[in-house]
Amino acid sequence: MNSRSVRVVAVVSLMFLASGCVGLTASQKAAIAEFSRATAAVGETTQTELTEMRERMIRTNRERLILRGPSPSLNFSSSLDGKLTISTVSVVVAAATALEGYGEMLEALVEDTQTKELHSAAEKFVTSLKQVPNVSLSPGASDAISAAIVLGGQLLIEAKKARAIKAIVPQTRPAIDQICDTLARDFDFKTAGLAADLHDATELLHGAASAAFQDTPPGGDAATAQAAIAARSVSLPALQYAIQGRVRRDEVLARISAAVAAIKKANAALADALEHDRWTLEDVKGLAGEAKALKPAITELSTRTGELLDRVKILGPARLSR
Amino acid sequence: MPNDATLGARLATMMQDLSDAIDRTPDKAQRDQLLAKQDEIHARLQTLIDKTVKQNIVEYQQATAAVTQSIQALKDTQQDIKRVAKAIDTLAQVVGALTKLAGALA
Repeated sequence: MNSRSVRVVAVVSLMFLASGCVGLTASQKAAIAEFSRATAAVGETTQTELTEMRERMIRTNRERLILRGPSPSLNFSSSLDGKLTISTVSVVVAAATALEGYGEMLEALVEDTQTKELHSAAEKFVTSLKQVPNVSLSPGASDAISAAIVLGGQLLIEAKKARAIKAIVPQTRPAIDQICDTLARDFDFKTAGLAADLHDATELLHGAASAAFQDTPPGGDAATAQAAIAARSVSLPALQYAIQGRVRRDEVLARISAAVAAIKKANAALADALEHDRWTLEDVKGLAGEAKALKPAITELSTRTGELLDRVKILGPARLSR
Repeated sequence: MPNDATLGARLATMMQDLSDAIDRTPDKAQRDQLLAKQDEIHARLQTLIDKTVKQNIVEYQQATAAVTQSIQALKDTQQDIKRVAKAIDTLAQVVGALTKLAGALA
């Protein structure tokens, strides 16, 4: 038996010995469950948005090339995806997947979930985390997760579930903090992350499309009029796309950045409460409050994005008439 | 918004204000100048992104001051479009300040 197996067995034994401990109260479980669901939802939304960001970057740069031709920072030898390369985006997607797995794992521990689901969530968390550079689980965190998986069906006993959560959350906190910091930076366009790169490209397209639209002369003879229509049919959709990009940045990316920061804060509060075994009513209310505040934002992200972008399609031409 | 005092945050604001100024500038020659400045600034941003920018050096402070001044000049064009020429001058100063900053970090 290697040293890691010995450590896991020791943690499992401790969890058995602690079976006499009291479990979590109903309100504590409800608060953790709410937080877990919000965390999983933010992780999932973030993954989808990263793919969308890469597609937007490619289309934005393609439109820029069409309107302005090659420039020092964008030419025929440049990658259209800018800093949102497949390898970079894959790492950030892995960070978001790890966050989703973490939420699902906590949810499996507080809800009446099957062992298979707990195993699947824990595996998603650990596997994804390994793909994020400079983020790793401490030996204590790995052991606590492995022990929870080993216990499996034993976790139907409330006290053992509580023990597993009390071991996992504080131990994984440094890794969750780092993941949240990475995601918050990459979705804040005012720091040097992926959103900042997309923001710059969007503003360049906005300027280029606006100038191209204004530069198109009014039609004179039939041939000139046709040429003007052809030019505007390129510049106007490009301008609308840039305006949509701004809306998406302000409405979606900013919310994700704020949601991830809120998860980091709520997770730290949960870890602190579990580590020091001091669950006051305020702690429970605070954690539930943080999670509840996240839920409407996440719902809005998934349901209102299309509506927001549709509204921009109407706003676009109106802006031009100023 | 967080980090509004940093150079990166101010540059992000300036990039948007600059494309808005292009949007409302009626004179083609001035629009072309604004577009050219936008390209120049973006090219210098790409150089800076790959470097670790130290905030305590004089070139960082100068670049931040130049960008702040330019944001104000671009906002002034909302009130009076005749102020575009002055905004273009401040953008030229931003290009110079960013070039110096990149040089200091090299």
